[in-house]
Amino acid sequence: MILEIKDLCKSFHAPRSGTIEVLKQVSFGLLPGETNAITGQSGSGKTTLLSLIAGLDTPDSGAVILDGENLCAMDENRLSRYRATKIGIIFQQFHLMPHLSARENISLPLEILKQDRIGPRTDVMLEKVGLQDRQHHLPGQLSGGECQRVAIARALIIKPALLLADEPTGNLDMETGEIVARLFFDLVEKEKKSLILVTHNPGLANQCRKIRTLDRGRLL
Amino acid sequence: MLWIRLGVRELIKNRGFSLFFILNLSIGLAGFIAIHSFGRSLNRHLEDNLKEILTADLVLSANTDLTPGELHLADQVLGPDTTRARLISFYTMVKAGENARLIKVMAIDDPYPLYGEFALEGRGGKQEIQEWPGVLLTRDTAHALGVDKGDDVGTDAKMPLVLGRKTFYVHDFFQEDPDRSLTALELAPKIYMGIKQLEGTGLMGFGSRIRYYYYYRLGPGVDVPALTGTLRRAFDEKHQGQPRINVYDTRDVNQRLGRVTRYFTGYMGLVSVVALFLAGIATAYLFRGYLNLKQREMAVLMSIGATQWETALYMGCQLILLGSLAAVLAVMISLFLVPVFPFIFKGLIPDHLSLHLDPATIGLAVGMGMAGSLVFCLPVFVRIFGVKPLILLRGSREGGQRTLGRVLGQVMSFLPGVLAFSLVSVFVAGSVKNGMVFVAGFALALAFLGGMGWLIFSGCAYLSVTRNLVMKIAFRNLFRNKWSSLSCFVTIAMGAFLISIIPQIQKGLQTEIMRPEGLKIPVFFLVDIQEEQKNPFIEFMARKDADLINLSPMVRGRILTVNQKPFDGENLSQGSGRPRSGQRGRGRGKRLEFNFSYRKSLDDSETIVQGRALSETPWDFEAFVPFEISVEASFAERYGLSLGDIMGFDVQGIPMEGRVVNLRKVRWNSFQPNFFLLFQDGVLNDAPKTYLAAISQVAQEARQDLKNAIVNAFPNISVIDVTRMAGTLLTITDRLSLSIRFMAWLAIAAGLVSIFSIARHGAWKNANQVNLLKVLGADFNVIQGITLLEFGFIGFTAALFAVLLSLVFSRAVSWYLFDSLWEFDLLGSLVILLLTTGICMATAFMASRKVMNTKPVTLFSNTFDPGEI
Repeated sequence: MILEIKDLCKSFHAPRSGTIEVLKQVSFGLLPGETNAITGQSGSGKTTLLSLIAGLDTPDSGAVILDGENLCAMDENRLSRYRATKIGIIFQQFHLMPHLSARENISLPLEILKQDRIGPRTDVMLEKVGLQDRQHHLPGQLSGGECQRVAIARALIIKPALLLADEPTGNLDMETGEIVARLFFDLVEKEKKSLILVTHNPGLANQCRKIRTLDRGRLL
Repeated sequence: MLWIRLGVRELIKNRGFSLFFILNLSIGLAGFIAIHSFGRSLNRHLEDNLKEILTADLVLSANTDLTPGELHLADQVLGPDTTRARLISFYTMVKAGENARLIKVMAIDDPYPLYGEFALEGRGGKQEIQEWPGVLLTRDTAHALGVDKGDDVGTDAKMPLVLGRKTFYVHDFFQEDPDRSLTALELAPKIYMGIKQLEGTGLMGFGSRIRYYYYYRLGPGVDVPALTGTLRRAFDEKHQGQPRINVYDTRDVNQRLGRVTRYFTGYMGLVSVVALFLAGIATAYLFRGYLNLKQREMAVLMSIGATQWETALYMGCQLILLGSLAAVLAVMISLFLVPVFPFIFKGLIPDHLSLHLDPATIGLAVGMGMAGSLVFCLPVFVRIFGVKPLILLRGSREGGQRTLGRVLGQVMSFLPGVLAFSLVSVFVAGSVKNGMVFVAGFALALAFLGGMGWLIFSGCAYLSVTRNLVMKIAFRNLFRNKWSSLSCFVTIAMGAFLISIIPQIQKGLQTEIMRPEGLKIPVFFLVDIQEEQKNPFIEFMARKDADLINLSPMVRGRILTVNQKPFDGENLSQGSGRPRSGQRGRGRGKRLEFNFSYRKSLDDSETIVQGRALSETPWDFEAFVPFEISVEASFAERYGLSLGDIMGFDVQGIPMEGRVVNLRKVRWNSFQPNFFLLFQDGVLNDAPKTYLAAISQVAQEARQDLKNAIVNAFPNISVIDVTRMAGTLLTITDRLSLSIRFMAWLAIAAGLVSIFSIARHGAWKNANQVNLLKVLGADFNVIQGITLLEFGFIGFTAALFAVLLSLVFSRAVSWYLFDSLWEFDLLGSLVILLLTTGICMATAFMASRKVMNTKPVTLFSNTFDPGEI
């Protein structure tokens, strides 16, 4: 098992309505190379679950065990480094560094981790996402689809154990979304990555091996 | 390196922010660096030229000539390899044609000066003046006396200058005075003559205020400070603890000159600290906007593995780099500012002062730029540790929960700034007390203006309830963006306060110095009236129909003891009875002789502040009770004297004892004969004395004639032209005022940069609102009106409260320093009010012009260029 989610609970305190339980005893596992989609209505807790798995937030109780290590027991700095080596995240709004070129955005995680052979590895990723010709363009000069391809390349370049994607085509038109989704799933399959995909899009969810549905904080 | 590289990249891409940050901080730093550089240049010059300034290694001076025994003692202590020069100096009247004027006689022997030289213009050397009644003077002095009749001036020109009973001629002009005293503080210009030529002038009678100097040039490798100490002790022993001779060396002249210039540079420095602080506020505000903008990027970095510290490093590198660039720019700006100082301080600093920035100053500038940018932005910077990558998923900019630790961290983040500000203030002021008083005053002004600003912008909520669209939106913006409005308000108000306070105080000072004649300010002040001249002089003045006032006897003597303890003439701290630090044992700080007087009733310029009036019954020599003494209040404070103290005196060899019965406040600027110590009637009546007096109510056109007549009839009496002296004082206050205003404009400039950046930031933030208004049909005037009203209101209210604060503050200063003489500078206040409002509106208009001209189509494309902020 590459990922184990055990009895994950998360609640938020709202000033007027008191405590809202967003996740209630969520548990599931993910095998290496397995792809899971998490669907559910707005407010069902999908993004919260994703943020807990990514180690971007801490649960009230429960555990997130990635590659044998409990993320919930790590301090902020260790978590950052662990996340950098084990998890690749793709956001709906791309979140690229606006003043770095496509190439620089892709190579940035390797630079942060002070890894070697940054140039050749970036070239390989650029080729994989088909952006060799656009590598020196800034995000502002790229289309939405190209930006998302840069984000995918950036997430994959560290060869993460787990890939997390939050509505990766949510900000793209249908046609571009389909192209990006095709590329994305091709790469996941080729690289044999484990994936958790959060989406409203049934077409996208159907491309995953398993679909898990969240309803008011519980996995159905 | 990655973080530095990324940081540099970010700064290049955010050129607008970088430029404003650098410009803003550099304006704040420039004044400070310029003053520091000027101070260092001055100190360096003084240190390098101390011997030339003193014209010797060591100097002895006294009010009466040194005896052969005393000179022999000096020769013994100083050793055989010494060269000696002599100078006798005093003020007297010189008459050239029909033009009489006060001058300072410098009677020198041939070896003078031992270091430095006269840069004589013409023929012959200075040795000729020893054998011939010729004088050396500057062309300016000659012009003032009316004897500058061209280049042929010399022995042949025979232009007479009458000094006492003897006629002198202009021998030559000198371009450089070997005695480098601060000329602007001199009472009169100098005339050099041979020491032997004093004979026959009749100017050296009893009681004349003559000073005798002996200059020594010591052999090579001699420890001058040690010899100075030895000689002081030797004279102390010879005079049994009552030294009559001042012994001083280059250290003392350095201290004396440094004190005068520090007085000016200290005030300028404090104003420059305010400019730096205001620039710091604006810098922090700019960084706050930048950090908000970069929050998402920091979260991205964290999401791909950067730790919080690495993210902080990424932003910290940018701050340090910006600070360094600001320092470089500040150094460049200060290169233009520093050459202005010699003009401001002409006559107050030595001529030919070489001004340049040394590596230490540049190092200080870079250090302050780097540290300053971090310190000022620290309260904002700590928010980096609250950034969570979670915002990338949730889309919220909330930096996590507000925990006690974070609140404490936020509070603590202000401490380095407060500490740095206090330390810099103390450093610039040159004393902990003055520095802390300044910090406290500044904090009070800041608190007042901050409080007022808060009330004003809270009140904008009510002002926005109106049907007028422009007012509604403008006041709502001010209310909703309270913090940015407040930081704009405070920076502008502090700058305007500084600019307003200076003319207010100056006006009080001018009024005090130039009071109309109706208030009995004299025209002439007379010194050295001999006792035997008293009655003839009174009769002479009566014949001239002149109003002779306040003819006051003056007796010279020494204070021997206070409450049976020896009085050593050094300043004592109040109450402690101990010398102030840094002054112990310094001969120059000692006051060896004092002038005493007596009068039946107090002058209008005197008020008893403690105790009772002196008894009108003349003191009886036979009565074995101490006589009564009145002590001037500041004198009492300086020497730790209080009511009831018993003081022992030596008045021309006769020991006497008196008791302090009152403390008097004296308005010295009344230019009336006033004294630190007044004795009971009957004590000094029989002592040998001279007289001081004042003459008032002389018509402008009759003044020169009266002066000439006095000099003709009584050549030894010095006539000081009070109007001219007041003019000199005003010139000095003008320069002080100019120098401080010069720095205050830097503070305003720092405020304007912050207005510009805040207006620009605000405009971009409101870009959607502006475009929406355009879509809804609002014309350009309405949109422009909103910006102008918003920033015009800030400028107007800031200037208004600044002027009000300056009125209160200047009133307090006038009450404390100038006996409540205070005049409201209405015109100046109005100019400041209107100018500040106008400048704010114009700056805001220029800053927001680009946004106003954008097309509303951006509402659809949602293109927002963050680099513009």
